[in-house]
Amino acid sequence: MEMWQSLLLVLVGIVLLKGLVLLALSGFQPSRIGLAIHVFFEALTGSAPAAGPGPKEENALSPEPFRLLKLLQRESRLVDLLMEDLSAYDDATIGSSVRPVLAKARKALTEYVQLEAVLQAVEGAQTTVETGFDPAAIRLVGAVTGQAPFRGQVCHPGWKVKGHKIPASLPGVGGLVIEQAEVEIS
Amino acid sequence: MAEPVLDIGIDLGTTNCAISYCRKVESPSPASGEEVHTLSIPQVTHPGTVESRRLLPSFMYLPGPGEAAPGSLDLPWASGRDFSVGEFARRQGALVPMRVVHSAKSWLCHGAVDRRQPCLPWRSSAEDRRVSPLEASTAYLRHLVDTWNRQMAADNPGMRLENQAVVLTVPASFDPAAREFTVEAARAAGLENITLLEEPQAAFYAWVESLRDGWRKQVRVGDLLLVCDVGGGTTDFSLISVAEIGGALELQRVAVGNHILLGGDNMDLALAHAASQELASRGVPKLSASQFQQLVHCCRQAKESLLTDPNREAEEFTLLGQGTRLVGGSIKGQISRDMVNSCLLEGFFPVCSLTDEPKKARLGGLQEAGLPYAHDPAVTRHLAAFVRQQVAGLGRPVTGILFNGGVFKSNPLRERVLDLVRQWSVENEVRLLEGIDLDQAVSVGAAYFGAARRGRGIRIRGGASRSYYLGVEIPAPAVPGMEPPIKALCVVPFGMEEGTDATVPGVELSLVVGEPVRFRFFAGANRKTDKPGDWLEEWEQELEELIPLETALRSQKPAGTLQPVHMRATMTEVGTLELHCQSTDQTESWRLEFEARQ
Repeated sequence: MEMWQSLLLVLVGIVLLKGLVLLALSGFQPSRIGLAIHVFFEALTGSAPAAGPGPKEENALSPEPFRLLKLLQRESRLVDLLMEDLSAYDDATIGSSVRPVLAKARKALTEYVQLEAVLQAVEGAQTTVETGFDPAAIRLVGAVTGQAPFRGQVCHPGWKVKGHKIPASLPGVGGLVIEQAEVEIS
Repeated sequence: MAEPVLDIGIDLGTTNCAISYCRKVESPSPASGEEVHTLSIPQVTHPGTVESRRLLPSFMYLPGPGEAAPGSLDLPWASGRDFSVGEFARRQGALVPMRVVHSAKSWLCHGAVDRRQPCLPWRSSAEDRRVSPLEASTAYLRHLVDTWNRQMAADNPGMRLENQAVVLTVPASFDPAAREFTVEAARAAGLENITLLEEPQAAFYAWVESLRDGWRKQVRVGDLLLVCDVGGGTTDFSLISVAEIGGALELQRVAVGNHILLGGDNMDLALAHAASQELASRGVPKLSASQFQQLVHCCRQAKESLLTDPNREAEEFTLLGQGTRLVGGSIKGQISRDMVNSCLLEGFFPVCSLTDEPKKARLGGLQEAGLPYAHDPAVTRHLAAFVRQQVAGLGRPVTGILFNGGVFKSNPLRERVLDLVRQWSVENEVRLLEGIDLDQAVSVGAAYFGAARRGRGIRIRGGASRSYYLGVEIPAPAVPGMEPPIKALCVVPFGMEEGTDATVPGVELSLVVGEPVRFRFFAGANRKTDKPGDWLEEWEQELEELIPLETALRSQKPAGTLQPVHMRATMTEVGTLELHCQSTDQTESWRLEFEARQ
């Protein structure tokens, strides 16, 4: 093979690889490749957006779905917990740290989201699933044959949102920032 | 329908503020005449989040340029805020101590600083934003005014707080200057029609309110009731005497303790320091600011549980790791019963005898001019000194105690104080007066007092909490190295009632017209029989020197004229003290100002 041919191959290979990485970063949604390119180059150049959020990112990604996540992190540090690799720690260490996090997370969850059971029945009790039931709300398992109504045992009464108090917006707080970076000045 | 008449009480506390109101309820039952409600206070709790709380923490956070995102400190009634008051300010201040104003109220009562000059946060650097103690107090009051106006007067301007009679509480131990500054802060916040009420009295009113008419059955003629009020940052004692005049019970506040900068916050901190020392002794690296805050929080909970449950020996705690190593960086520890006992019970509430004195300050050569915190943390020794002096003067023992302040949610602490007072009162029964909300009694009582003032409840007779004296130089040959001797002239008697004034009889002083004149000014806590015009030549520890008074004698008379004057003292309806020099020909009068500074 000539020198120029192998060079070309390497080049083509690099371009392809980059494309793949971009596609992966965009969550395999080609429409988001623009954002992924942005993120990719930021990662490459190591220029974290220290001064102010880039307005492009805000536009591309809605902070809406992450607001509860942000509240849970703020009140309980739940995201820190979920993102930490716990494989190195023993159960006692994990237990004592996780307890307060979960207690606060539960408090925050119940404060911001009003949850109720789908079925108003005790776990383990017999219940009747009437004709025309909502399959999105009730999952039938076991020896299911024929048509509703069905008699069966409640294995899980389900959860559904009855209401919520998640604030519509948090003014002046970076939308996609779940937890601020913290820098101590000494 | 006529406007409902509301009486409003504001507790402008060292660490928390609250606002209550009292509404007259028309009811067939004679016992339920008044109903006191407490307002919930919206405040920034996190950047961009406004939530309501029962109390407004008295903290003011002053972010630097670009530190707070635009809009993140806004309130429903204020956009473009560049400071924050309340829970977020307290929380953030724990992490950034140089940018938070706290204890503004203690600074109001601290004569070593000019209370109109921006000097807070005390340790901030000169280029940082600062506010004066007066401005910080105004900001807290303004927040309460705005809260009220939004909740109670949104569609009725007549209900605005500016148009209501408001009772504002101050420590009983506040000196005349500090009371004056409190009124000034209220005026700056738009409140013109205010009356001051001493906090221990307010707590007592809350107790009266809680029992409706039942309180009369719980007191007896001749009782001497001690109000022991340990707030977040200050400790305040008062004695209330029960008498019978013309067949009716009469309450009179007969003694007030010194201003003691010592409170519940010191206790939580002391326990946290003990716990962190224990961690350090096990080789745990120094805690970060946020971990220390977690520790203070754990200590508060451990204190509650260990002090309520005698069977628990220790409370375990886990401080979460800093950074993303929440589990990996976590620190385990425990707070033992011994720690709580030695730190709180023996540190702040040690058993002591009636003759014990609080430890005095060690006088180092140089001292930083911060707040004059109490040198002896023992609340019980401060109390012993107060009870000993007052009971000796009054000639009868304490027969009842009313506790106030969150500290006393802990049963053993209440028991300890109660036991001691019982010992001190020998053979005399000391009853416990119960039933108030230890966090909100002051604002509730203040609202009740508003109604009582208009004849809808019993009123405690109070008046001046000290007797006051002017220092007058005695003409004497000058001796090098010796201060010229001075005598103290009593100008205000103890208990001088609100809305009265008195000319100091028999004394004529001569002042030079046309230049500022300064007077040394003294207060006596235990000299209850001195009358205006009395001269004191020796007073040892009995009088405490306050900031000098000053006045400029502008006059039509030519400068340099020697003007004979009489002193006249007025105890205003508001609860402040005014001193005037009145020319003997009654044509001119000059007010003495409390804010005389070097």
